[in-house]
This record gives sequence, C-alpha cells and structure tokens, in this order.
Amino acid sequence: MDAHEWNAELEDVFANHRLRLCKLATRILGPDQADDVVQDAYLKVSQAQSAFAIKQPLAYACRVVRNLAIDRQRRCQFESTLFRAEEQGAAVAAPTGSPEAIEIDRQAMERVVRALDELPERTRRAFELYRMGGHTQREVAEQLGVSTTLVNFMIRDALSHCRDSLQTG
Amino acid sequence: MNDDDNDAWQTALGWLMRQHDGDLDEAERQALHAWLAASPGNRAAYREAERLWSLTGLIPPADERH
Repeated sequence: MDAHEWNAELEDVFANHRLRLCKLATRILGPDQADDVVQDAYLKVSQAQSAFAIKQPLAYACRVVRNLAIDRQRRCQFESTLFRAEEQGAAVAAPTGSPEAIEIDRQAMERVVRALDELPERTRRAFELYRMGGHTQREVAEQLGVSTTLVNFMIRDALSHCRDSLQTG
Repeated sequence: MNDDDNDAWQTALGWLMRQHDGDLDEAERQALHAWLAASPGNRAAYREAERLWSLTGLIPPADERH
C-alpha cells in the first residue's frame, strides 16, 4: 500500500469511527477533552504515517487515541501538582514543555522505527507490550514469563537505543 | 555520553516508567519535582525521555506494520 492509499484509509477511519474514538478518549479523560485528543491523534498519525505502513488502521487509531489520552491525563495530574507547589512558593523547576507541542519529525520517526527493529526480538516485544500495549512492567513480565527486573532493563535498553539512534549523525 | 548524563538519563527513564505504571503518590510527585528542579541536565534528560515516549507511542508493533 503506498502512502497515498493509506492516507485515504486513515481519513476514513477518523471520519467513520469518530464517535468510537471519542468514546474511547472520554472513558479516560472525560468528555471535555475527548474531541481534542482525537483531533490531536489524527494530526500526529497523519504526520507519522509516512515512516511506516499499517495493517489495521482502525486498531492502530484506537491504540493511538487511548495512549495519547493516558499520556495527557498523567501529564495533567503532574502539572497540576507542579502548579500547586509553585503557588505555595516552593522552588520547583519550570514545566518541562508539553510533548504534545513537539512536531513529529519524519526523519526522527524513521530512525526510531529502525532502532526498534534492530532490538533483540524479546526486548522489542517487551517494549511493544509496554508502550503500545499500555501494559505495566509486571503485566509484561507475566506475558513473557520473565522477571519484572528483566522487563525494566529491556525497556531501558529499548528507549536508550532509540535515543542513540537520534544522536548519531 | 558521560557518567552524569547517563545517570540523569537512567533516572529520567525510571520516572517515566513509574508514571506509566500508575499514578504517582504525593511523596513521589514531590521527589520528581525536586529532581527536575535540581539541574538543567535532569530537565533535559526528562524532556528527551518524554520526546521518545511520544514518538514511540505512534509506532505500531512490528507485526502490525508492512
């Protein structure tokens, strides 16, 4: 499938399944931010998709919406605490900048895809379950039949390898 | 990467994973804030970790890609 065809399929998924995607986001974030997250997912996916082709666009869209909603919820909690701390006059660091503001850089995306493909099979699988699958380290350990400590190391290895891939050349 | 950078990076990964595995309690939030406040290197490492977290969240598992 070329990028043009896939783009059409992506448009269809976000157009035809918008309600389903919004419900998914609402379950995590409540109704107020659901539309916004779905729109954000659409923008990110349309920027990212040139780096790979996807077999199941609907499943993919659902996963991206869910993960973005979870990330946003965690960040909101974190930043509200930060804000409260600042109001109380505590010396805290400025917020670290919203990852949502980061433009999806095609070249960076391609490098990270390649870096993930270079990982040993089990490390890659552990990372996929953790990141895209939304599982905890303990759940990943159970699924793979290894210790939680090993899962922790594998996820660190995966993210460090991705980081290295962006820093060389 | 020098040792300080690597320490900051590994600590940033630890926080990121802790946040992914469940909500931080109040003590943990304060510890994270204190760590971020402690040095620009810590903040840079955390930002980098979040950036990679965002990027990798858009990449489907290998067997769901062509």
